[in-house]
Amino acid sequence: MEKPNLEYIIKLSRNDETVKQKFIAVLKFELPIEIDAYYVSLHLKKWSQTMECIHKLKNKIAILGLENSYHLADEYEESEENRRKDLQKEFEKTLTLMQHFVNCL
Amino acid sequence: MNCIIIDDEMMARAIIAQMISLHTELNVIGEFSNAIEAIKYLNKNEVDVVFLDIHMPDFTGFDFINTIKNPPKIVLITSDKNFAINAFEYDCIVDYIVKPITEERFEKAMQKLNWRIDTTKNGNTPNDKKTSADKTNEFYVNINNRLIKIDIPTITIVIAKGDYISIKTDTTSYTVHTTLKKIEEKLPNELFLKIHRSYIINTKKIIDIEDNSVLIGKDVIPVSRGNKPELMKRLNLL
Repeated sequence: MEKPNLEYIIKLSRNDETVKQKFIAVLKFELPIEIDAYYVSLHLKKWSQTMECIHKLKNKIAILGLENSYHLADEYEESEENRRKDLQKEFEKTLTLMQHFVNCL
Repeated sequence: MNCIIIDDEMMARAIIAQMISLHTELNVIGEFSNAIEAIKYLNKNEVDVVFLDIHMPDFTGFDFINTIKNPPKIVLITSDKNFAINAFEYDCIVDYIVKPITEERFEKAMQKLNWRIDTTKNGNTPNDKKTSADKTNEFYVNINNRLIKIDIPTITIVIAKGDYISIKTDTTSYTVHTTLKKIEEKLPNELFLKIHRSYIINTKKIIDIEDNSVLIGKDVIPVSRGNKPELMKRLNLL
């Protein structure tokens, strides 16, 4: 499985440690909120709301350089109900992976 | 130029603000997580450019554009490739960037923005054919029965080749059945200059000038003696 990385953030920060730390702080603050919102809307079976959450999380997935997971999330967001379960499992693995990575920063 | 950022994601706002900070001509005067707050702000403040996310809950980016009377220049920034086609329906939309934004792509959007603002400023002369086309910064060419869009600021050189012309852009090259004169009418004269009977160049793309030739990308283009004074006038010489 691909691993999250900070390449995008480092490039964007242009080696400025303060800017890099600012991005990491935003990531640490926003990611758990978005993940929680995803699980809550999923639990409430509100699919359109869940789609919004997946859509937002896709941006974080891309920022952390998870290209394959991004395509999977894209597919999950657009998925028909019968295909959703498998994609959901994979998508949630990505969420765990990202959260773990961000916690270790 | 005063600009605001509207995006419901804090991370996206931070990224856009960082990209803008590299452009001294832009000044971020507000950041908003929802479009309704931004509309209230726009009613009281002068804003030149809006960096706008489309996909926001309750009130989308397009709702925002449709609500304001005289929208400023807008750069759309979104993860949705699907909305691009709608963007062409609005004159105020300068560019459409798909997330995650890269510096290179943002830079291109800024070029388009500056070009659009320049042509709007200079486009008040009713008889000026080239600036009257300032509402659009692209045109379409017919190649093998396909209409292909060309972004004018990306054009580097236009070369006459008999009954055809070759249009070179930053990334590709097109051969079109038309005349140099016809395309010259479509190009803004602030940006383009005919430097030889067979060549029109984008003066912003010049790398260097030596004797009677200019270097654009990897192409060395001849400059005719009669056109050289006008070319020299356009240069911002030290």
